[in-house]
Amino acid sequence: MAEKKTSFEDALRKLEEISENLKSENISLEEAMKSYEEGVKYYKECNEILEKASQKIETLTK
Amino acid sequence: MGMKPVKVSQLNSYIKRILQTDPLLGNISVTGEISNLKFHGSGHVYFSLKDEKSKINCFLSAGNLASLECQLAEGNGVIAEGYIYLYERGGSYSLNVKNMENAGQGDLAATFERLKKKLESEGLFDKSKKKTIPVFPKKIAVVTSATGAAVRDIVKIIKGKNDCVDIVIYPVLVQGPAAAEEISSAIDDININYPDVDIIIAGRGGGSMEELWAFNEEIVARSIYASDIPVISAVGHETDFTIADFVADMRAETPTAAADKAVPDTYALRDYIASIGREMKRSLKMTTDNKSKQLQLLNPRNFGRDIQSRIALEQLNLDNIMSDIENYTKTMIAGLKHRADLAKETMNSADPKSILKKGYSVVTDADGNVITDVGSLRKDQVVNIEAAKGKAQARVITSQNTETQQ
Repeated sequence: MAEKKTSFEDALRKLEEISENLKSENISLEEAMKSYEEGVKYYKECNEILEKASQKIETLTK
Repeated sequence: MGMKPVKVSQLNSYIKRILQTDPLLGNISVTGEISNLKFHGSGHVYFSLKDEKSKINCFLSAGNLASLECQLAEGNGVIAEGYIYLYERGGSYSLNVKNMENAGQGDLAATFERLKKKLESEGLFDKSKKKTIPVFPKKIAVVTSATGAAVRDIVKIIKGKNDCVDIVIYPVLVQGPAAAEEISSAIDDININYPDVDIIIAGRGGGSMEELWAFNEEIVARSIYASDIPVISAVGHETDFTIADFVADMRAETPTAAADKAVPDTYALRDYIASIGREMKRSLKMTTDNKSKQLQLLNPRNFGRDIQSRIALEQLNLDNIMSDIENYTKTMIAGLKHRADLAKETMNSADPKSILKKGYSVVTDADGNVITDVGSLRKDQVVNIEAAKGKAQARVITSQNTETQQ
């Protein structure tokens, strides 16, 4: 399989990690802001992948 | 037509004579797998013997059944001994079984086991070689019959669950002699010409073991193993196990299950992502709220308020100490005063004047010395007498030392 730019799986995993990280109580404000910004980036990426995809169904002919 | 027509019964009778006089068919041993086993009320047994391509009807009389040593069961591989018999009225022939013995497992089952063992020993089933099925495939290839129920089920399930993934249907024959070759080359072709496919589903709907046989062929197993794209096998029903199932990266019980396993629910994913988005916002707000609360605590105004209350407290403390000291001093002074009063009283009671009041007098000489020894007085010496009230002067007439007299 050719390597794609960012896979949905990766983006989702990152998003989940960041969300978890944001929940931690001793996170610094700077870190929280940075994490949030990054999270929003992945959040948008995930949504874009889901929104842009339009399903194609084709039957190959021999 | 070179011959005048004969009656059906005449034809069947003729065929019967041919069959039953044939030296080979009159006493023959056949190996196959028992299927369609039926025990008739009369005690006779009807069944079929089959291999992967063909089958023959068999008859076992109640009498022969009694002397039989082998187990009669569906799927058992047996060697049956008997002769070919034509049933004239139905125009059908069957093997009239006289004796039967176990042949281990049936041919199909034996072939299956042999290939399974061989491929297993070569490591084609190794768990470590299994590729992970991507969680979010963009394109799925379905290798199956274009007309079967399987392809309809797969497309229906995928569409209902995921509106992002592309589906490519690669039509192949799934039964018959050409099926294995087609399935195998389809998998190879997808790997070469459609490398953007993320998952291959290869399978078909339910059927007999013969109908599913293509998925037990070595050539299919080899292609599945060689595939760089993960393969999900989806053959028949839950209870059907094929060689393809063992070598595939994932086995699905049915084509429907394969479709379900292959794709994530994009509708649920959207909700999930939205919930993460909300959660992140909430977490950030909580962090900023916490930080501002912390800041509030360090606000100089609050700080100053703290100091003032501290000062007030210290003052109060000081006041308390002061009043304690005052009280203590007061008590002490009162105590001292009381002692002084007592001392004064004692002193009063010791005053010589108070003795004079009782009737005593003090006698002194001219110099004021108190006379305690009469012997020291001369005759006619003037002495002073002091009583409680007033003073007098007297002249000594006689003196007598009381102590010497005694």
